Amino acid sequence: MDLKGSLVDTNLRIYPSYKLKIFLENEKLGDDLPVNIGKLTKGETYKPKQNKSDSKPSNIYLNENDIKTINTIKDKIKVKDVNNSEHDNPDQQGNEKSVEHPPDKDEKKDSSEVSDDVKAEIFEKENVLFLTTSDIDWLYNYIKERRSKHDDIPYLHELLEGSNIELPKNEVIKRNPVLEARCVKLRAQQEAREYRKMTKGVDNVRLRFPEDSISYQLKQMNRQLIAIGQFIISIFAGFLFGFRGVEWMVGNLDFGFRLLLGVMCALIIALAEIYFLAKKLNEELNVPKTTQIGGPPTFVNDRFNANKISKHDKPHQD
Amino acid sequence: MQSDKEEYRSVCDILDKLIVKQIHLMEEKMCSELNIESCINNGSIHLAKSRYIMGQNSVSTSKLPVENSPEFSASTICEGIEEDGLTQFKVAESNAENTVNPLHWFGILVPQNMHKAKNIFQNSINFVVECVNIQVQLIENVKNIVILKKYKSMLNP
Repeated sequence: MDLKGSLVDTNLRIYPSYKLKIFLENEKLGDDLPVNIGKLTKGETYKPKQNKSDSKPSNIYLNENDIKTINTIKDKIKVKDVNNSEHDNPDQQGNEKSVEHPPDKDEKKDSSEVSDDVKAEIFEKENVLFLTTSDIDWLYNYIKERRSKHDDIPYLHELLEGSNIELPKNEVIKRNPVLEARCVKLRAQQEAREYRKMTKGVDNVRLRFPEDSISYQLKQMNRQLIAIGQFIISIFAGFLFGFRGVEWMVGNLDFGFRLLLGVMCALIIALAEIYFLAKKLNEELNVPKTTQIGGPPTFVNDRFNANKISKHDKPHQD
Repeated sequence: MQSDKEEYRSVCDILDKLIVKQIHLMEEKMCSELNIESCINNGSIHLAKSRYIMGQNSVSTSKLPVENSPEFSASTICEGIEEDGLTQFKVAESNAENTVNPLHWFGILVPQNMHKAKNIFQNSINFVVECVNIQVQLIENVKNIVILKKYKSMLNP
């Protein structure tokens, strides 16, 4: 259930081959090295100088001449292949296969299809020094420069043969234990609910508490409707008291004054009633306990409500 | 003999360049895959939000067109362009008549998040195409390396 996080660092890790290490160690390198190469040659404690000259002309990209050369070589190879295949076909096939997967090509494809034991091996090498792409760029330029002076400097691709290129791995995100606990709880609740539903027909106590039948629902609705009806009636009665009752008590009154009295009375009673109505409607919002397995339905906030009612001892109770 | 040596050198130099290019391409591909991932994640979050707003039945797989729904043409298509002997793809708007606005599958008045999700998903097509282009270059590069190595071994037995 662990998730894979997205990649944070997209740098390739190139674990240098033995050849490359030897080459680097035998070179007399200057001081302005990239960090990783410096670490490789001068020990772990190497620190690069701050004034980096990054303005080097990067001639690492193929130019048109190169592409032309590649194309001509391709043509040549193809012509030769055709000639070969005319002569002996089976041999050609074997030949091609060996070209497709030459042993030194593992630097290209290995990282994507490493088997588990190899992976473990790589994992152990966590502390081994590695190069990044920019180091390779630097190395290319450096080797080219050196080769213009000395002829016997090996080529970069020969040095890189046998190197191990590793793709960065996704970080594995462990599930949050809080979330896990919550999932377990929710699953338990769900199961309890299902169980309750299943055993409803055989539980004597609960047969008398059919929460999901229509009559039960209607009863609930009626209770609320009655509460609202009571509210309206008491307001009306209050109004009537102010409008007629006071007149009957003290004698003739002006119509406007009577109206005002009625509205005032109704308002006061409405305020008080609203308080009780809100309280009553709030009580109805009981959530049944989800983890309960048998017995009559109990509610999550039952105890809480009972306390409240007994404290206020309010008049609007069924 | 001299020209052979010269050629050998140039081949080796090109091989170096190809190897460096390969490494760069690999890194580039990872970056573009990361872009796709974040793009689709964003879009999915917006889609989830709109699902939350509209309810899980109004935004679900049951609203998607099935096999026997009327056919429609894609609103975005890819065009292949030849570049340095490679086919590179490019996103293009289709001019077909019977395109469908995918938002209409989920209703006419859809939340803002749905519009956002649509735009993000549309944008992610660009990233996918970019990734495919890099992949094509990678494969081509590997082929080139193989051929050049073969050639090199012929030059210098």
